[in-house]
Amino acid sequence: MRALVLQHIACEPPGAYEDVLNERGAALHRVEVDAGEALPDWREFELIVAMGGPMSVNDPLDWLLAEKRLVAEAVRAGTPFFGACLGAQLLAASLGARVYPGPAPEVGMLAVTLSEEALHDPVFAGLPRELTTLQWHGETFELPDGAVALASSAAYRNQAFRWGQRAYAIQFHLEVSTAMACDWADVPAYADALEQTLGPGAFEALLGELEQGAEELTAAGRRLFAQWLDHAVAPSGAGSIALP
Amino acid sequence: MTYVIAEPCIGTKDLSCVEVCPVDCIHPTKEEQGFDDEPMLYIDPDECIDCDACVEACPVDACFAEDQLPEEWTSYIQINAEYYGRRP
Repeated sequence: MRALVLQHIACEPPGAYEDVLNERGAALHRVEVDAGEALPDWREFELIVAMGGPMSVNDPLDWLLAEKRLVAEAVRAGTPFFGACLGAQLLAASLGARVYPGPAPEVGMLAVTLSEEALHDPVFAGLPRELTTLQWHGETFELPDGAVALASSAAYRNQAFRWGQRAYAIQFHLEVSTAMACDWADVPAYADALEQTLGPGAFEALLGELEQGAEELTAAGRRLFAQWLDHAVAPSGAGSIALP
Repeated sequence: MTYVIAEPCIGTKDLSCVEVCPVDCIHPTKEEQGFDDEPMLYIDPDECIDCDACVEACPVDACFAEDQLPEEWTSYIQINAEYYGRRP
């Protein structure tokens, strides 16, 4: 299984999702897109995982334009796609939906509520209706045409969606370890969002909450991602896949 | 397939489509040379990712998926492509 991993800052690897890929023997091709590494031909991969980053999908950067083109072509051709945070916003933008700054960043260990559709979605099956997540974002998105909403939060209505049966977008984080979160706190844009939302010196408290909840968080992340691999990447009886 | 800008854009050049295009494939933009001289905006058929964002954004319904283009405006497929020096 060849997996294309699109990263947008070195400290946001797929974390718990990457662990699942490794356990399944996937061959990872990691591209640090923001650092100017070349995007490969997406046709060479069975799946694409796109992770977070401090930039906006609307930033006028050549590599972002190329990446949105890759995502649009790959997803419309039925390639399984899993986007987290900026990766989720990339999917939305690539399918023509608006991505925009929200009224305030959403940062912290916060609940999202799964939609009715999520309760019957094979990728979200078995996850608690009120799911504790790590949030750390300032932009949000509208749903692309044909998308199915899967989760919402008090601050932001659109937290997760699927488009077709293989492309999933997750705004929140379930993949993050405490070590990764410590690295994020050193990224100026992330530190600003944290302070703006939770006040100065809030990271220690957040880290404490994450330490307490990390096991549950990544267990949910592992389950979600494993079920995506099972149902979206290698579905039993795979035949033609309906796209919106 | 690609998307095409047709006659209603002539003299309008509203730029809402430029604003929403996720891959910046609609030109000329206001900052670009030639904006004042061009009668309309054009979609680059090689760069368009068929996302439909311009269709919703356009205030004068000038953007169409190629297969939805009204018959009287099919010449705009070529007009858009030629702006970029391409043949449709």
